[in-house]
Amino acid sequence: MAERRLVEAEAPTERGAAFLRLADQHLDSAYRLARAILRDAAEAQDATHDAFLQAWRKWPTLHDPAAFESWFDRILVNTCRNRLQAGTRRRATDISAEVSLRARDPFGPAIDRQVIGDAVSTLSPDHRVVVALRYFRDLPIDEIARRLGIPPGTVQSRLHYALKRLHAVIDAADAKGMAR
Amino acid sequence: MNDDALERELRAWYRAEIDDSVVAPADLRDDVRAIPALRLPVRRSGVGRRPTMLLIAAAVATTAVVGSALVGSGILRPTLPAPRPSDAAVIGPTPSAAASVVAVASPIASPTPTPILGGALILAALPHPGVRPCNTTEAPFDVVTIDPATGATTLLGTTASDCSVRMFDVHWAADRTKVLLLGRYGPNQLDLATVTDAGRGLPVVCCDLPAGADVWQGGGGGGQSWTVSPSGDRIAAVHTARSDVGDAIIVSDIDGGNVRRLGLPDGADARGGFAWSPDESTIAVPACRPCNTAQRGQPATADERWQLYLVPVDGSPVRLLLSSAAGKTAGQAAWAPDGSSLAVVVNECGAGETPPQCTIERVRSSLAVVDVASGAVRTIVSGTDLGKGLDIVDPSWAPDGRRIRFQVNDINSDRVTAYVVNADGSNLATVIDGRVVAWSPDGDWFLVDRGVSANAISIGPVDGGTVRELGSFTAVDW
Repeated sequence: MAERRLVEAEAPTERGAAFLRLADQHLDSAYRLARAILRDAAEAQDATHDAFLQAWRKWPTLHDPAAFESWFDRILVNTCRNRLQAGTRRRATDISAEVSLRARDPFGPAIDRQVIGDAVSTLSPDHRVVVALRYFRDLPIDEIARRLGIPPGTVQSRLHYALKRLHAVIDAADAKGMAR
Repeated sequence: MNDDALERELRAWYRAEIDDSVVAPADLRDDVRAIPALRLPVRRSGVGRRPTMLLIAAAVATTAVVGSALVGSGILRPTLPAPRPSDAAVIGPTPSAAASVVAVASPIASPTPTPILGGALILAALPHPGVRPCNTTEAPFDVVTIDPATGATTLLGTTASDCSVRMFDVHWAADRTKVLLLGRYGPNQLDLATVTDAGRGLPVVCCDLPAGADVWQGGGGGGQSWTVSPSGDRIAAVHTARSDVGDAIIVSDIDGGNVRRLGLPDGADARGGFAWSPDESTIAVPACRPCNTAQRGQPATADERWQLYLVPVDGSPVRLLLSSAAGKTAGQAAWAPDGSSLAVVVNECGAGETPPQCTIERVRSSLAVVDVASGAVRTIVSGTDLGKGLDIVDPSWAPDGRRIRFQVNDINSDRVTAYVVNADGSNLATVIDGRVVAWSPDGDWFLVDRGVSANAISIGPVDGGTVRELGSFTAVDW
């Protein structure tokens, strides 16, 4: 049975049009996911561009345009992960010094938002990716597993580790009376 | 604060940080729209390149005349600096300028006056210092060798300053006359460059993975879905059809030529870490068949079983070596050095659960050795030895075939511990806390990431002793 292959159905200009259609449709959400993983706007912009560049190069491997989002997400999260991996990882440090410089709102959220952000930044690349896919994109475990090409058990394990790490960092800040 | 509360806080934080009002900047949108009109660098090496690849390997052992051919082909930059005196002092006699291309290469393979600790130099990559990072890709990387005893580094070369190589992995070829630099753009591309001397600026030699190969990083320790052959001359990758099902193995030459598709039985989905046999005749492929594709909480679509296939590279019929019982997975195959057996990680789900929807805390992980000739299975580290929530990953054999190393992820404590056990299951012992990233060729030493700081690597002896820091490296091989 012949596979339906996008590349065989299209002339080069049609391929370009198809790519641009999907890219336009998904660009904002891709950029937001890159921001969620990398946090830095400039890094996210570079990573998003790189991912679309790779998507264009690998267009023939997209077997079904309806699967573009998950296919492209995989490219994007790996691009982001590689950037984190090759860059400097923040050590798990005491963040209370940073927290103490910020204004405290007694009627604000239960946890200072910056504490959450700083805690997320201490996660390893693998953990930051699964946390973003789970709590920013709200993907179920199996969808995350498909995006990353890893078993669902590994996704669960990474989320488990990540939450433990976040608890530890936030509790440390809380103990200093800085988290609220 | 419990997990539920933390999860709510995380969601709220993400929503506050990045709500729907955040949109891609205008210049990003313009850049993406311009992509189809870009002329992308030609990466696939054509037929003409393959002979050059062979010349590179031959040049190391033979004549300096080939050096000019390498320069003319564009593999090496036309002007090469003379070897630095310090390099020559560290790695061997000073070569003549005319033979610099070849002679400087030879120290990689030629023996040093005294035995090297661990049996060979360490290979590593690290960001090139003092260079502004490229705009859209990583900074250029220095590729170095490291003397395990002293930590002294010798620069082999620096990747192209046009930022065309994104470093991810480095590998010695088996004969150690070639260094493979593996760069990756997301999951679907592998860029390779080879270097045989200390010339500056290592250009990318080749190219994309063969068409039809859709690979992903397996993760979870030992689950990569592309693998360079032991000799470094070929590569295997998982081919995916629709819905990301791994239905075949793609094998090609290292430059992308001679592509061969090795199909798996209908319904098989290859995951969980395949492995080249030491003689490169066979690839051991763990795969589920049938596979349960149900979402969590939904009824299983199949009673998933795991199979271990032996796939001959010459296209001969696939052989089923091992079939798991219900509720178990089998993966991360590792060949013994003599090819007579395979170490396999077997994970058993909790009662009533069907892979892959198994509660991680209830899984028992064990290590088995399978005899290739008979298919006989021996469990050498049982799930009860380690307890629940301890996940075996990354099995590998010591070079003398007498011991097996593996790592254990503890989901309860975030610890990774390396272990060693005799091949008959006796003398199970811990090696080090931390993620072992490479074992020495003689099996007596390891390189470990102890999580001290970003990319910090330490070196220590397998049988106990002082562990010392080596430095920070993006990638290492030994």
